[in-house]
Amino acid sequence: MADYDVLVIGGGHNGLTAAAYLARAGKRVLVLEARDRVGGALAHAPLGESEAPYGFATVDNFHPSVVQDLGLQGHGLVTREGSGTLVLGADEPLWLATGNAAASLGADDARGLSELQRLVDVAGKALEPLLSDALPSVTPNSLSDFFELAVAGLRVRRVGKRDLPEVMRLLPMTLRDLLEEHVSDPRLQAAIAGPALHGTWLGPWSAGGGYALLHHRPAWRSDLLAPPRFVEGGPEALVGALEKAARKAGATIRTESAVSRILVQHGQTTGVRLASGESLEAGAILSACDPTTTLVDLLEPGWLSPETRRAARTVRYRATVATARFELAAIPDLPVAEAREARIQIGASLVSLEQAFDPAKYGEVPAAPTVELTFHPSSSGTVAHAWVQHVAAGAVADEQGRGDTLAAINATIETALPGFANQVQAAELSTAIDFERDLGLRGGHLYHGELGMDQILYMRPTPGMYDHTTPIQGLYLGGPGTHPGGGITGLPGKLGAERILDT
Amino acid sequence: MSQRYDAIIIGGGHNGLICAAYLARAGRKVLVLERRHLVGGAAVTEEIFPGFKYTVCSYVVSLLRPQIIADLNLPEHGFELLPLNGSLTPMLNGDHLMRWHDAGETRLELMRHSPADAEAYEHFAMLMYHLGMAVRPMLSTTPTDPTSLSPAALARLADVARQFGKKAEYLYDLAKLMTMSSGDFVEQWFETPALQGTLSASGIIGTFLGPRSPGSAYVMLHHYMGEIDGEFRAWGLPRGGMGGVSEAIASSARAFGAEVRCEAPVSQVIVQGGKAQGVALADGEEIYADTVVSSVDPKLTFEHLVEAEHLPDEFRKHIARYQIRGSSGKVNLSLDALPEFTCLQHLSKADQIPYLSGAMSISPSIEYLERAFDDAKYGHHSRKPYMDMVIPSLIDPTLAPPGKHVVSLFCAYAPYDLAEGTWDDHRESFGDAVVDTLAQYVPNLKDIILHRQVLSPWDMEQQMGLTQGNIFHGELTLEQLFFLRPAPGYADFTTPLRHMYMCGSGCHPGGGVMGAPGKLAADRIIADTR
Repeated sequence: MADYDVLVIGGGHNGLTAAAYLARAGKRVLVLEARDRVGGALAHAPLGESEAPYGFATVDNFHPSVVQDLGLQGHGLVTREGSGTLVLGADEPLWLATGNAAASLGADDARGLSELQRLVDVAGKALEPLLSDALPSVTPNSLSDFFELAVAGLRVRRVGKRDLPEVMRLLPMTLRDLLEEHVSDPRLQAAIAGPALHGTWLGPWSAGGGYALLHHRPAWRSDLLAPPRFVEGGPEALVGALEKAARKAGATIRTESAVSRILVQHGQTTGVRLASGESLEAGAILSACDPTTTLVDLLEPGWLSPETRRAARTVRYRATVATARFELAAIPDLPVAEAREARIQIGASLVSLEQAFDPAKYGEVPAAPTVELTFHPSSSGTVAHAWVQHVAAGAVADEQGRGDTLAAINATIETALPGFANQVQAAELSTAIDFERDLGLRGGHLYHGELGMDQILYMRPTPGMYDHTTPIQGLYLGGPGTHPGGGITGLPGKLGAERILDT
Repeated sequence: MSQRYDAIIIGGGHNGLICAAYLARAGRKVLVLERRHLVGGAAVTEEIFPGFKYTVCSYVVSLLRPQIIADLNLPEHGFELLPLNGSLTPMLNGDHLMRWHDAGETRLELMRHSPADAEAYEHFAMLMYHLGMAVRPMLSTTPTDPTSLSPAALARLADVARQFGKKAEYLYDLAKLMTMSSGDFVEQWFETPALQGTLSASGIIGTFLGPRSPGSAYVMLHHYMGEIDGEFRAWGLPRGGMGGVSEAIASSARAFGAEVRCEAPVSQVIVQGGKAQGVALADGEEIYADTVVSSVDPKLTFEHLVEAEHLPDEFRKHIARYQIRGSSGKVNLSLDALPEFTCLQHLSKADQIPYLSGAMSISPSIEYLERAFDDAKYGHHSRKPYMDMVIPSLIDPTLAPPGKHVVSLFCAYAPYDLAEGTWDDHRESFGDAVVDTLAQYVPNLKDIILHRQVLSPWDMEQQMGLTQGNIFHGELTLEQLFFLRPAPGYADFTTPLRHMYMCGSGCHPGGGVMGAPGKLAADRIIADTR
């Protein structure tokens, strides 16, 4: 008899989510994490005298069903809605309070914003079942498959004759065209576009921005100006709650247990071999690693057809996100006091966002990076976490490049928030190179593969694997490289686990 | 009182003429009204300098539907397509990349650069062929509106699904192609920068997108389509320059009984009670017809020729947001001798001719093209433009005096909207950028230039009436294709006005000298007015 029913490779939030779902359903589950701590890109990392959020600092789109199903609140999860969005970098700051952005806008923009919001809500509702549930099969084999597909089709069509063309044209549009159609204040355009670019290799003038916007503003959190969602105790506290939920349900979690090979016999997984040489047996494996690592690196070559292997190899992972973390003596004076709890975006027009993307395309150091800043309490006071969307990691690989980039980020913040630099006690830049080394992320991509129109839905990670299965019997995918994609939602892990439970 | 027609076609470009020819062929009494002194719109040959005939704007034919050539007897009317000989990409290091028509020769040439690319090229060509075949039927049919609930539309939708079901193995490739950037797409296949650059460049022609912008891969397929009709139908130049194809279509239309009037600019569509009744010319003449068909672009049609009061608000909004961005310019040169490319200096003059008898592409890498795009994004012409060059006089010697040549350079990017100043201020600096860049590959270029004509997008708008100088009557981006082109609910060549239709490149399936919109619109009109 095998040691376990399911081995989960990777103890990031998706791996833990999957483990909790599986264990709750009575499976004997073992999570294998390569690092000395679980949590992946949500885990904290040392900064100066304390520890601070490292990759993701907030958990904006975590899916409510996961919180509820796993009883995460009972395991200590407390989240807090941010106060709004503050846009800096123009002559005048723009303060967009949560739920009351219209108060800061002209009448035309307030109207345009609500029209765009309506469109995004309509689109989100139509797409919701596709995102928060398994995708219906496009090659229906049974009556129930066919029924599911028909229901999804009808749901999309229920959008109505007038809105359906609007929703369909929205997906491939550039953010620039979409936003300019509705609102005119460059700061407002930037406030909406900034977060929509997370995880993409796009600028606001690249086609496909409409989809990216919907990905980041899904039905369960569709507010175009949704504030950040903080976790009490930092993002690692979400990991803690997931870990507790998984253990409570009976899952075992082992750290410092890197998997070096997925073992296959006769097209069926039998278990894994660890880097230490130890072998573990199980009937099923759920990999929360990225699809290329799982299918190309961990599988013995030869189990996949050349086409499938090629498809898995050519998933794009051009990672440009960098984070800069600052240990502060105190939060500097802000133009709006409530903005301590807000997302502060420095980069106040679509042009500035586009210009920040340009150098990344050529692997060059950004002269004027755009920055999204949040403040977090820490044991030593306050930490400022700066999310910098487009930094080509290769260009800042050496000490010189790192120093220049950190200085550029620092200067961008100091210009927008005078007095910031004086408060900095320790600062650290982390790029894709660090994420790859520290977190084992392929290419350092926090989303396990670019979010682009050709790498979503039925094409994520590759055709034929959108349902979390692979050509290998017993091997399943449950990381953000699979449907419905990256970001902190918990959904890929949940859907991967549900697929195993269905079979 | 002038006579009454069954149909008036506004604009004598190739689509207007094709629509007219088909209508006349069906026995309708048709009048084509062209603003300029010659027909052809963007597909014209003009003797700008004595003895030198320029293919002023549009410069190659590949997409013209074979059925149209046959239906309209175009060969009898003087249409002859002289094939281009392949495609040369010169490189700054003195090397070059040549793709010949002959697959074997291309393979040998690619081997020189990368054996892996040579291997992949055949698979790539095969995939593009199959994808082209999958898409091609869509070019010859009115797009199905997926939002319609009418039984006919649902049946057609089911039919489309069935068609694709048959080609399921290509379904995902097609989905990828529709959504990827041309740069990302070719990078999956090839490693030679010049090959990557040249292939991805066809994804940016006529569209304000860079090779890194998703959606450009589809435009690449759109251009590839011409190559799938077999060797005979490959890219070519009509005898007599691009005007040759327009003259042939006009001649065919006349032979079927259509009337073509030049120097007859339409100033307004006459509308009464929601019905198009005819047109008023700039000189005040009014001409009446049962049907009015516009072959000019949707913006020009509905923002200038039809008074706003006749159009529903919703439709006007859709036309207002229709993106039609000028992104390219044209430079035409008269040369005293053939250009001497550095990369061909190892060959005798005679041996160079085959290399020069095709298209020459200044597209050394994807990055080169993307940087050219970056300039344009912020309202400047590219400092180092992408160029697609042909020497029409090598293919048809009647276009230039003996021993001399005309050169056609399609150049990107040249944005219609400039960051500062007007195109009068920047036209020559754009021409200089083109000549300076090309001279890096052709050292004798500046010594042999006799004349130069620079057309900015603004000039194309002034001369050819193309809004913003957009050669395709609107961006070929996904949100403006198929059932959304030019506006939701009006992809079937109808308009909100009764008895009025559209037949230009602003309609499905879009731009290029393809003729499909003109023909499909004629089919629709014939069916509606039987």
